[in-house]
Amino acid sequence: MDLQDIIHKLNRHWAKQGCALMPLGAPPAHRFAGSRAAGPLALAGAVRLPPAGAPHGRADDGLGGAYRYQVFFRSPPADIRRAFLDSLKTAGIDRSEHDVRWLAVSRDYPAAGAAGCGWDILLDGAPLARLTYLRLPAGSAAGPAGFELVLGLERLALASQRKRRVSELAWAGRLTYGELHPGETPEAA
Amino acid sequence: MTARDLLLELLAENLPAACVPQGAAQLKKIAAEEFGRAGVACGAVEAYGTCRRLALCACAVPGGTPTKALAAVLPRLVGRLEFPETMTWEESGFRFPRPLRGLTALHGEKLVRFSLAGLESGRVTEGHDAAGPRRLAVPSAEKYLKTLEHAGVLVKDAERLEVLRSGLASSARRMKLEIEAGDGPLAECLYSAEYPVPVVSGFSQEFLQLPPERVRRALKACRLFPVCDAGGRLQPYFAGVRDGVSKGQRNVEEGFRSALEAALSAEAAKEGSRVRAAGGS
Repeated sequence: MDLQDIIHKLNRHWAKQGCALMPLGAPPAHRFAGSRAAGPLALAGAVRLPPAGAPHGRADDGLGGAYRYQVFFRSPPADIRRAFLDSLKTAGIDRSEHDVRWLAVSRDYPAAGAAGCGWDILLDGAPLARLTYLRLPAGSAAGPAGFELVLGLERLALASQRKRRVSELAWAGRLTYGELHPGETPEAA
Repeated sequence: MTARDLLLELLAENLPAACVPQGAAQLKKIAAEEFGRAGVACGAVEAYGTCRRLALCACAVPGGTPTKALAAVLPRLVGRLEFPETMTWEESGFRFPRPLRGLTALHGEKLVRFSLAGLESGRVTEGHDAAGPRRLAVPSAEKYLKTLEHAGVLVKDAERLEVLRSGLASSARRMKLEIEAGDGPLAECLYSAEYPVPVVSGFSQEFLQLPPERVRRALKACRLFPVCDAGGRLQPYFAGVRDGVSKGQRNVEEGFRSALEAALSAEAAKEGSRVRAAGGS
């Protein structure tokens, strides 16, 4: 499955879960956590991170590569865990052929005034995704301020396409990642 | 009326490893207290936990015990569980380390109906994440453990530990080497996999030139076990644990190896800086 197809499939999958598709950009989606916009808010989209060294640039989150797929729900559905696992399937990952490890973590987002708990998801030992139930600091309303999923697209594609090197990833048809990013050293590891 | 077993299963999103044995131990202790207080007779009480579920099994609860009494005791029991870090996720504000997504409560075949944390108790749970059925009906409290075993989940901590230990021991025998599986790291594996399967592979021999404590640090960071010869010398192999069937074992071996070699390279870089700073060659 081309990386292009993977993004299409993820878009279709999350749109079906009620997300509006838009590139969420950096900083990650949790900046919506404190938003006063009324009503349920669910967003999803692929984004390219700024280069390493820039704020929220590459390597900040340990997911490798330059591309992320991000999802944000202000009110996550009860089956959000299932929706995440199904998104891996839709991207061509057969979970019975891999090890998916859930490492429970707590996170802090001082710039957004938010914190959260969730998981770092490892696929065969390498970080693939970060899932977080966000909460605003004490004194805010009870319950989560949202749910955020950030997925490393290169890592996902490497597993889906059974490739070892990011430059070899098929982007669209015979066009490779390496050809589209000449001169970069995009090794996801 | 015949006495039947009582089952309570709390199905959650993946629990932090440390919370699981804590939760199971509390369940067992609090159950004994609350059953006593409510006048519910029972035989042996045991509690188990995996990364996705806590289960309480009480044997021989008399058939005549009113379901209403059980339906009152069970949520009270769950409400008394305490954990160092908890979160809320639904309107009632119930607190737990991660969101609860299912409640199964059976007395024999009878459903014990109660509500908690926005959930209704039922008789349907989930099998193993990668291998088992998503919806798994539990026919009776007595059949719970076997039903889950057939769906790829070893609920009993001790059984899972035994499977893990003997899996690692076979791998060690095959390699004619020893796997250093300390209690701490073993416990972490125990509470991150519902069906632990050993993974064994190697890493580039040149990393053995590093001081052993750096190699061990890298292994530990990747949640892998060191492999040594009979003399205690590190060998260029590692052992790890995956959750579930051994299909696609190669993917997991290669993935673990890449992660380990990246960690070893980082240790090598630190060692290089240290040596240079010390004025070494």
